[in-house]
Amino acid sequence: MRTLIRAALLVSLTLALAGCGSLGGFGIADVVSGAASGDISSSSKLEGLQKTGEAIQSASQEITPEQEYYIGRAVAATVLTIYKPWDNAKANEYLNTLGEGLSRASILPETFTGYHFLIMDTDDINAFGAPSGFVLVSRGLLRCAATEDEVAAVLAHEIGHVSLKHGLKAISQGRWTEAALQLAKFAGSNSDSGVLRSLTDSFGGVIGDIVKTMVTSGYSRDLEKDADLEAIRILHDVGYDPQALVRVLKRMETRLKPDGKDFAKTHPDPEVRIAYLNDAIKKQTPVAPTAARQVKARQARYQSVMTGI
Amino acid sequence: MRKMQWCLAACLLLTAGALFAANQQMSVTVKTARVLATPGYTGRLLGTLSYGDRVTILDQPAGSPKGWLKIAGPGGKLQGWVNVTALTEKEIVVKASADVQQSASSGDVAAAGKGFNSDVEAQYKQDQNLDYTWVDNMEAYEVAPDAVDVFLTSGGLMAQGGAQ
Repeated sequence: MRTLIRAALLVSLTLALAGCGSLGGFGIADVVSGAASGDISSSSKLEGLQKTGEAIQSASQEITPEQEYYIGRAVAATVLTIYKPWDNAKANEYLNTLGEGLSRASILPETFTGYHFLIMDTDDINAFGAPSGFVLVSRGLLRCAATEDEVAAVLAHEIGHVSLKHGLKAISQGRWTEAALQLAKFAGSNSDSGVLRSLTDSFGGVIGDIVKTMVTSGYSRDLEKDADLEAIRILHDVGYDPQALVRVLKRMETRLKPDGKDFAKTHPDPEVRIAYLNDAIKKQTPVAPTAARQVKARQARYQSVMTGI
Repeated sequence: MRKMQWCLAACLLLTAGALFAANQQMSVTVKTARVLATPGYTGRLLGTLSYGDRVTILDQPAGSPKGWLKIAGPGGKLQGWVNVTALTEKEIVVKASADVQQSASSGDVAAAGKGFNSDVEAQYKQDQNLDYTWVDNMEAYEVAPDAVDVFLTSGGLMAQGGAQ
């Protein structure tokens, strides 16, 4: 009787995890049909199936930072087939120094190889925070920033997406199930061409889901709001003016084209974002005033690098 | 519901020091973790730990800042502070035998280099004819922590990181 109950539970778990996704060749269908036909009489088989179920569940909930790193690299490489990089060492170095400083105050300061920033050579107003900290920002968006605080606001929003793992949240439930099956299978077997093929197909599906969301459909309004709120917290804690994000959004609002394929398509209306940001900023303790010479130092380095972007 | 999740995540992070018991073993979950003399990113660099290294959580001094743990590295030689997000409670097996790989699916152990790894990346790169040159270039933009400190402090900004 206990065996039957356990089998029923396992079938329920498996069906729930299978969700709406297509399944790869691992044989979860075999697991289900085996259980349903009563062909799991031995305890060892049942334990094996249960372990597999647990592994699926575990892997679907947790991608290691190392795996997230490979996902982030592939997402960034794919975005860079759409937008070319801007080969300006000075500007990219400035962005990396500033971004690294901001990431220290994020809720996830440590990713597998840290945060990395690159400018995309396009007039489109766009930016992408790919998993593990690969952040891409367009020249068009950086032109909406008139001070270092405002560049920091743009980067902090993307760091928000990375640290809150929004990229991984773009992976469909079905895709998770499929990926989890492949990862569970790979954990218990040696690398061979068949396994590598299945894993790569699964990996491709994961990358496709993330890129589609980031480039075409956009994150949900809730996730964008979460990234905005995390951005003003980071700005505040580092000592930048959180209102800088509002100023960038106001400038962006005047420049976005309604039918554009950039932020106009993938982000909530700047007006909506400005409203909740103003409310949230009012609740923050004011940032301590910065000495005039330090404000001057920020603006001087901003101008030396970003003028003419 | 979302607010509750946020609160839970924030509580977990902010009370990190209190959540981990002294003598607990943890693993480095990033490629290189910096061990600092004091908690905070402006602390003097004492040394580095590598992916998979096991560390022992030491007694946390009273008033230790959020998000940082005082640890001892393998063999107890290197002692200092590491940001909690560079550590995991799982054991990471860097070079796993077949048996260990099997146990890696148990949830307590993670096998390094398994699953989505460099082999998968190479295959995917070939399938999609993807150019990773600029992704590699991004990673090569390595900014020295000291340079970040100078950048932030000269601009009147906070360099130690963490919630202020």
